[in-house]
Amino acid sequence: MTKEQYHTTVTNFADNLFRYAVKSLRREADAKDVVQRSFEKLWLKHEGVDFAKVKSYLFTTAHNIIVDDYRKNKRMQSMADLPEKEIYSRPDGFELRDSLNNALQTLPDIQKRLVLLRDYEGYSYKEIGVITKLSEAQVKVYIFRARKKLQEILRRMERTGS
Amino acid sequence: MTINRINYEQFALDYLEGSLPADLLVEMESFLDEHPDIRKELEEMEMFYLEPETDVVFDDKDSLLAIAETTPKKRRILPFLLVACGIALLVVSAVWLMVDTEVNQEGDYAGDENHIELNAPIENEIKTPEKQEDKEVDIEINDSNSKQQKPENQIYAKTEKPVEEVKETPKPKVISTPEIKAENMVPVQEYAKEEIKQQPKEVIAPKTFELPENEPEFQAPIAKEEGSQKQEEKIELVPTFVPVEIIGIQSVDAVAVLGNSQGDLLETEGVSVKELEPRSTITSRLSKMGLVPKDRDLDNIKSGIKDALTPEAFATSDW
Repeated sequence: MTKEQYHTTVTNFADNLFRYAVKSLRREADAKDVVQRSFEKLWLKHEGVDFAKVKSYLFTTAHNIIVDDYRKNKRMQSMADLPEKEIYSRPDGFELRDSLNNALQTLPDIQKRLVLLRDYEGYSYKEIGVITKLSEAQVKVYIFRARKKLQEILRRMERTGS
Repeated sequence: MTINRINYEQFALDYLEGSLPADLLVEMESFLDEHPDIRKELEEMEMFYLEPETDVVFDDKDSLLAIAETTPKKRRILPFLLVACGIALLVVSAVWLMVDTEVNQEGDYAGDENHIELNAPIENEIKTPEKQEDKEVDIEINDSNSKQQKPENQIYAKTEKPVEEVKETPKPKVISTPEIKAENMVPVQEYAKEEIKQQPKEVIAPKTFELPENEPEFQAPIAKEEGSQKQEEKIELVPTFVPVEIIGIQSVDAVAVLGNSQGDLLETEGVSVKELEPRSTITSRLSKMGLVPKDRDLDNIKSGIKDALTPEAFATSDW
């Protein structure tokens, strides 16, 4: 991958990667750190990276950083401990989408990231399996359970009016 | 593949999304027929999909673009690391070899008292016992022909020697004998092994002596008569016998005559030297030369020989 292709990658996928990170971590600073480190690793390896697969490379790198550094090392604080202003929130006016995003945050981390990769980035189950180092069957099971869980949450929210 | 209650979840998404292959779709329908609760669950399931929030953007793309300008390439670092590692390895290896060599040298000569350090001062070498022993031998060299290096205390073979040639020798080399020790007799033993070719008049010549061109009669050393029973007799060496040195022919020739308590010459290494001369004969001849007192005082003999025996005296004796 050339320097120009790297610049193109920043332009095309930096936002996507940031959305994936911020939805996974819910902390904007952490999400920015993940994006920054993902692109640093990409540039270090840019001569060996195929530009056609650079998006998958970026999301795989970001996924590993999140799993290894923020989850296993427990660097991510509990949401209950976070100051209100540090929790990423969307502007008002998107009621259903906000409800869905809130429901998303109740999912287990792995299910949440798989759904984000599937819905946000449109990856196939097989591609998601490559990025997350899971089998395709495992990805399908996790995502099925995630959608089932989202449905239950949304219906409960409708019933309670919250 | 058989779909059951345990594994049906991995086919449920494709079933709901309409992407299940035909063969699996038939199997899935059959499974749902057998499990209406699961069919109901899937039919009532409302699929919610997240929509990308395009308004959420990374607002610091310049920092990402700057990475390509500031972050050093890995390949630029690797050569320096390799060179540094290589240099470090060479230094460690060199130090190791030096230490190992020193240890081996110390180990090779450990306990070896004779080992002399190459860089040791010369004084240390002079102080060795061998050098001190050499000093005890009093050698007077007055003949220019005696510049040949010959071992001290060497025993010489007898050979016929014209008197004239003896006279030609200006000053013979005189070797003092009183301090001759047992180890100095080794050359005698070695030389006595050689067969004698002519017995009558013999002068002991050095083992390493090179006969001059005008000395054709020089004979091989040490008499040994075949068939003689006495040849086979072993007479034990008696180190207390003091050897008698006789100035022989040439400048440095000398004869060490050894006797035993019976007045006979010793034999060494199974080779009889009795044929050379009985001690009495030697003593007699020395007496004729005025060198041997009648009381056979060996100390007097030695001192007398040292002082008085000259080539001229030897030439005039009845050898």
